[in-house]
Amino acid sequence: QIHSKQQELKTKIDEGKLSELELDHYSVHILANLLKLFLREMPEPLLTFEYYEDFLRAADLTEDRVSTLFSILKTLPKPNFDLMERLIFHLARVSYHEEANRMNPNSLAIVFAPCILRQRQFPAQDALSDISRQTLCIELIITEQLKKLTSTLKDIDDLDTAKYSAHTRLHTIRSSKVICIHCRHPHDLIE
Amino acid sequence: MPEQSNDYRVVVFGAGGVGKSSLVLRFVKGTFRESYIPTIEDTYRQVISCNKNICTLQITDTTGSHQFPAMQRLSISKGHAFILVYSCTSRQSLEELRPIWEVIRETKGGANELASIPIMLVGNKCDETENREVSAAEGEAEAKSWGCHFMETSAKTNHNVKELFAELLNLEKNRNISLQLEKKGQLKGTRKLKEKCMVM
Repeated sequence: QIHSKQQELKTKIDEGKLSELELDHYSVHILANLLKLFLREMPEPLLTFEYYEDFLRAADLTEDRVSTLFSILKTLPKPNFDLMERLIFHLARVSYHEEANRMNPNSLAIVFAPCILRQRQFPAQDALSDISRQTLCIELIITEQLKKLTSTLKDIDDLDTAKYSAHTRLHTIRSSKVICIHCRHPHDLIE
Repeated sequence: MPEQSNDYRVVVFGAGGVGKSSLVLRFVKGTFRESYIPTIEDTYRQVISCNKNICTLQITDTTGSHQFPAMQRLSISKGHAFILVYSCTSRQSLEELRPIWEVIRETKGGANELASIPIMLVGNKCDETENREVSAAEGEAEAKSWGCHFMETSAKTNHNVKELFAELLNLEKNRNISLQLEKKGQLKGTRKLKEKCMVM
């Protein structure tokens, strides 16, 4: 049943009928499964065969690991880079809510790394050390994106707070001005 | 059929987050953790008694988060007994078991052969009464329609966990398997050869 629902959704998307679909009608598990299936079934993984070794070597670095990972990301073909950026942004947003969903960058990396980072051979033959390095790569990338996201959200929050307090103060000043104008009237009356 | 090796292999399947690892860890180590770490694949070994000899119970904890069909088929063809876990708090997780059960049925051949394979449908998290979505009766009915056995467990409260593994081994009619070692008579002699197969 779940498989047929997932299949039905997949067929409709493949047929280009996305606009006819009410994605809200599908359970979040089916949608997430389909996203992973899409990534797994790409003929070449999202992070490409070409850069596979580079990513894994970057995971072994002792310094500049994150910056190296990001510079490899930037050398990916544009469609791959764009989709990866979108995916990681989404995963960072998920891990931002870790307290509720229990998915921290490490857990998300365990789930997503095998979908987007794999070598040309049969995935089950990946060496054990490869799996942990694959996971580490994706974990580092998500963690960095989460840091950026958290600081952006904090900036937005700061700006919102500033806007609110400026607004409140402006309001106070304006209303006191109104009172002042009213104050004049009694004064006028005295005259 | 898998060969009659000295190993007795139990494979645990189920959707992500239903508590497969928690059940296995509760049984093997007697512990429970509140945090969640998705599993890629872990294997645990424990010494049990089989036809009055010592043999190794090998428990494979599979991934629920992403399915590589080839790996799944490999585990099924190598497995002697299966535990299919869903969460009582998620009807979805019960529905996700059906395709796995179908692969087991296809891999393990005809109905007669399938009937001789110990398979247990398990509703875990039965302690979460407030969030329950699947009643015990529904789980049991599902198990009946699949022709397998049924049990509700809670890895958290340690409800029915040991019973689950004992009952599963009891269902094996080709050999006489028991968690109890003949001489020692208790699990004291168990030994874990290999724990997590990866370091994160």
